[in-house]
Amino acid sequence: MKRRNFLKNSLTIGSGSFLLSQLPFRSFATPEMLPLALCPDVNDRVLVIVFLKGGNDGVNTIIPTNQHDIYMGHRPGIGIPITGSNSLIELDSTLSLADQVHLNPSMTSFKSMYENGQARIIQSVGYPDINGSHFKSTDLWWSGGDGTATNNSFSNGWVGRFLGTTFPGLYGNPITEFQDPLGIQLGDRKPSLGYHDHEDSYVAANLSQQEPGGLYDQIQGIGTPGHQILGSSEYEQQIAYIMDVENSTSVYAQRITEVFNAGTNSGTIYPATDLANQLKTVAKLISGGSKTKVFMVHLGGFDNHAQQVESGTPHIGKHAELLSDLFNSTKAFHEDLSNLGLEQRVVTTSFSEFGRQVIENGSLGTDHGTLGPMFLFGSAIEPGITGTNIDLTNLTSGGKPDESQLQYDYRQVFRTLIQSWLGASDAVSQSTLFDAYPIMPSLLASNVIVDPSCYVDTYVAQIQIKAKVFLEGFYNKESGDSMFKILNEKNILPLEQPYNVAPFNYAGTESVENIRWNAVDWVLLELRDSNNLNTIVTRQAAFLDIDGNIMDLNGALGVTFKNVNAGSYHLVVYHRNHIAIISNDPLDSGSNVSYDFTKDINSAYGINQVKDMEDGSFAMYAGDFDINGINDISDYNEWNNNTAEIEQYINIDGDGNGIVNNQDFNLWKKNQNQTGDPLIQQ
Amino acid sequence: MASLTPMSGTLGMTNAKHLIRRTTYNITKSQIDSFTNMTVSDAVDSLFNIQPLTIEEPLDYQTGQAYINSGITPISGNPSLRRYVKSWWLHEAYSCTSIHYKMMLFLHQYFIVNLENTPYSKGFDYLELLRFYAVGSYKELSRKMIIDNAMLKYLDGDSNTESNPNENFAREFLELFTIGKGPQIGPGNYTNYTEDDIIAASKLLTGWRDSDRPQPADNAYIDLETGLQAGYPDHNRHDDSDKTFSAAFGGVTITGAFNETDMHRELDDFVEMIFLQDATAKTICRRLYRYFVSRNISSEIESDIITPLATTLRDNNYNLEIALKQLFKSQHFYDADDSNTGDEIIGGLIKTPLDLIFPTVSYFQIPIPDATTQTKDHYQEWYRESVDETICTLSSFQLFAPEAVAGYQPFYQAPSYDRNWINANTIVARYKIPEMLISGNRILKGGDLGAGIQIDLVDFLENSGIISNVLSAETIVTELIDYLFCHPASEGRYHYFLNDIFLEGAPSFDWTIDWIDYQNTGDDSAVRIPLESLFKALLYSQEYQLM
Repeated sequence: MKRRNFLKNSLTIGSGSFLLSQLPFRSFATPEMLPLALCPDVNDRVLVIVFLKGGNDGVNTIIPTNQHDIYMGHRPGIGIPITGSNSLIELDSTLSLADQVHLNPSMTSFKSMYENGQARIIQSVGYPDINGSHFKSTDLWWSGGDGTATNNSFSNGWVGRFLGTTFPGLYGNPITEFQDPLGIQLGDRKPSLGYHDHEDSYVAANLSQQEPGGLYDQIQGIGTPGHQILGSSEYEQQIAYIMDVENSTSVYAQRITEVFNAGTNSGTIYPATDLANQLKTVAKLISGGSKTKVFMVHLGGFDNHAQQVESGTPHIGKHAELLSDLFNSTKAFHEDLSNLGLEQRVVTTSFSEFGRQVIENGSLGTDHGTLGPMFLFGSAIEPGITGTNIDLTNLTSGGKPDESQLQYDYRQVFRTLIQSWLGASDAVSQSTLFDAYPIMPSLLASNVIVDPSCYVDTYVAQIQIKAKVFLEGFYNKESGDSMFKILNEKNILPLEQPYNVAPFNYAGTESVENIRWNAVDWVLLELRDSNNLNTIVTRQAAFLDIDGNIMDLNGALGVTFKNVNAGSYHLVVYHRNHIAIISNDPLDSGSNVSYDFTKDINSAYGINQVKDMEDGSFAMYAGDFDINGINDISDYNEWNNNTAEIEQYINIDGDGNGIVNNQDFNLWKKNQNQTGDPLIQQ
Repeated sequence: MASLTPMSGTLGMTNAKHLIRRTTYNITKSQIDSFTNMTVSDAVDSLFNIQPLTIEEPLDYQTGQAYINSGITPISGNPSLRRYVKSWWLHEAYSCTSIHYKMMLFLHQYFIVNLENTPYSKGFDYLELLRFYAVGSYKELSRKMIIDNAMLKYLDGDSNTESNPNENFAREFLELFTIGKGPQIGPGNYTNYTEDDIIAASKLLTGWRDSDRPQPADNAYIDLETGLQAGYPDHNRHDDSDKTFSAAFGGVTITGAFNETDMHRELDDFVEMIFLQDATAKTICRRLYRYFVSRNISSEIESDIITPLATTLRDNNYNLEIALKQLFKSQHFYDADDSNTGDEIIGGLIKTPLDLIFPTVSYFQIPIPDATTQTKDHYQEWYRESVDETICTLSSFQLFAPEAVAGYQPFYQAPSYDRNWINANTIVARYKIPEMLISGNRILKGGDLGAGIQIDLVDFLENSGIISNVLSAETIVTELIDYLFCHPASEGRYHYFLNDIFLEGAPSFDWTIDWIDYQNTGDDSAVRIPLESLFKALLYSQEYQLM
């Protein structure tokens, strides 16, 4: 938590925003601008993560060739001989002897992938102070943490942070260019912590135990329509949470069903296992056009404290079956992808929450250990072995590999994959909390590695902003913290945005078929470049709801600015008869982009730019009927010329009740000479 | 300020519903009404009255006979017989109007075993052990659980021997079952215990073996306190060295046992050492709080609720009943301890699948097939195939067979906890419940729910007496909302159920006419359709997912 705040702050005040603004933004809205040879189209690239649940016994997976006798000494019951029938498989005799490994006999598929240039081993991966608990260690791997006090308790996941940063505001709000869930989880019905983003939202669709081809049929028609007013009580927050799940499920259900049914598998024969089925589904979804960035699949059963091998025949048993499932399934998956012409788009990696003890426990099993190998698969990776064998004599008193043998932090591997494979920028790595872990240049084939000049901050150029602002004239002092919606109740709010006239001259075509029940009035929003506050980046019309929230045309909280690159912006709010305001602080994309103008007099840039409503809330000053940024005699003249209009949508109706009368005059009068900040005067 | 100060006066309806929902699976109008007028103290006390089992042990539907302790050989295969133990538990849980079955599930999700990999007699003994200590001493239960036959197998305690120590059980006992893990403050140091403590504990726990469980139980292995068969000590497999624990336990050394009787003493010393720690009581109280009250434990809750509750627990030999009564009688449980009453706790938990199905069945008085005369429908069709394997399993709740020893994600996974019950993967099964009950069909799987399991809403309205005025559409909608939801509906919401759903825009007098027509003609089609629409809409609502 602390670390995240630190990062957020540094983005706002110092080197962070420098970093963001100085890096070349390369959004995929304009890929044609990039030289193709240098900058591959990473938009289509996919990462598949196979999580091996329970703690894989790395020592019986990858066996150091020149320490085989030591290995047998530690593992008289479960050790596998290096010669004779059912013995270990030699992997690669061209490596130096110290680096050479033998494979578990059930890993023939791995060997064939390796020889085919599609497999890599990364030796001795882990993190500082490995935690011996499955649950905690699993959380640490997925949250991007480690056993040290500072990184021990992140409440969200690195995949979610990565996706939340590179697809800002997109989860649950699909757009034409990107209609798929950002992540898809298979094989474990528990939503993984890994997919929780900065705001602790789960940004993936979980298809475990769902038939993707029939998902939409099942989802249709469930749930009830939205609630009108949801407050802050736990009960109402839970209702809002459930509605979110219902919405995002139905939003994606149709898409997933269509993609799945449009997709196909080649004739590749997959093993008849759960993992193989998960991977087969992934292949079918990708071939059907899914752009989902990160797929997570699961293989459980590695926690074998007892009977991991058959007594007397250590080459068979539970562990051997798991390994053959893992590698046979992965091999079939990549064969299928090759046949489908998709092999260049997919890298698969696998990991387990920890390794196991080098010394067997006597129940033909092994207890929890520390370090373990990771694997990479696919034609896009560089085949081989990264790192050298663990020293089987350098153990802790408990028989685990001493943690001084850690060769690679897992975050180095994942950072390499999100940057060198998926093309994310350094700023994204920072937001993912991976920036402290150096990229490993040798994991991927040199011709697929994304050059740093091609890194991107977002895959989709858009920013979603939530903000809260009150209009003094419309403010409901009696109930507080809300506004009246009399124009709405009188049915005189226009269906088209009203800012297409001077002085705004905003040409946008925003319109609605019906006014939402909770709409108060239209506002015009504008983003200004934080580095030059005179630069207008974009504008958009939207509604304010009765609680002061900016609401898009569909009634969703917040507004999405399309075709806007990640960056740092100030938000301007214009209204027809209130003095415009601009946010005092910048809003940085990639973090939680929301802004509240209602709680602090300094929230609006300049001096005294929001009015104290004397109940803890602040509001935009009313009375600027001619919208020139100052309450002066010309506003009075406007009012005086048109007084006694009724049931009209008119600027001089400062309190928004559809009637022009002395109350509107009073609003102007008490704010007389209030002047808006010159920066944003129309 | 949060406070365990007792709540005075009568419960009132909102609090009555709250208390019943959080502590039982069986909710009826009559119980809500009776609790409404009881004092908080009397109502809470009544929840702890022990109720007899409806049936002493499960029956094999193929023979109609008991098969755990009767000595009668069952016909069904072992997988089915294991499942009927669950079916039996489910029916007792459904029937029970005291707190005991919710507490059994609490204790189970703490002391996880997988009953699908456990011989059925041992699974039965495990559940009976939970029932014996349902509101008893958590400490005593922990002591018994170490040598429970099902547990000895599940976490490899039986293969933990002096020559080959196996850490599996010791690790989970400390991390998950008792003291819990604190922040990692150094390599292998989790504040409350260390990796070296795990090694010492596994040595201490060596030599306990599971016993063969014949039918009826073997008297040689009966635990005298519980009357249940347990594991036994084997000193030849025991590491009799002295075990020294870390500073987290005050550097205590526990003397190694010199014979089998002394192994019991060594176990007692070990349990005593763990339960001497404040951290143990606090860990248990946090789990209780998340299970019964709220997932949100702020520093205020930690200091004002968890800490004093933990003191109560520890000072009373970890007696759960005393601590729970203090909690349920407190102003805090009813969110009455601050100026903004009722905004934090009531209705703030997402229902488990059991909390979704069982109170629906009990409130709408849907008859359950009789266990002795409709044995197959009872054990197999309804509880096994429908409740367990359709509703629970497809809602990601593999009852008594979780994927891992951590248990069920909604009970342990920070930060979302109970929110994990609802995700894209579970909402289908949860929201198909009304359709299942109306059609009598499992919908998501083949087959019927079991003989008679189907809701007849016309009959319900006409004969249950639960709606005070069936001629009034407003009364029907109001009374159902009042009893089924935690909080009153907003006006807009009420009109949604009344006008959009039930009346479909027609004036409410139309309903009155339709009902009178039905009374005159016997043709119920015009009244059945709106009733079923309303039932579905209420059960589809987000409000109904909450308790």
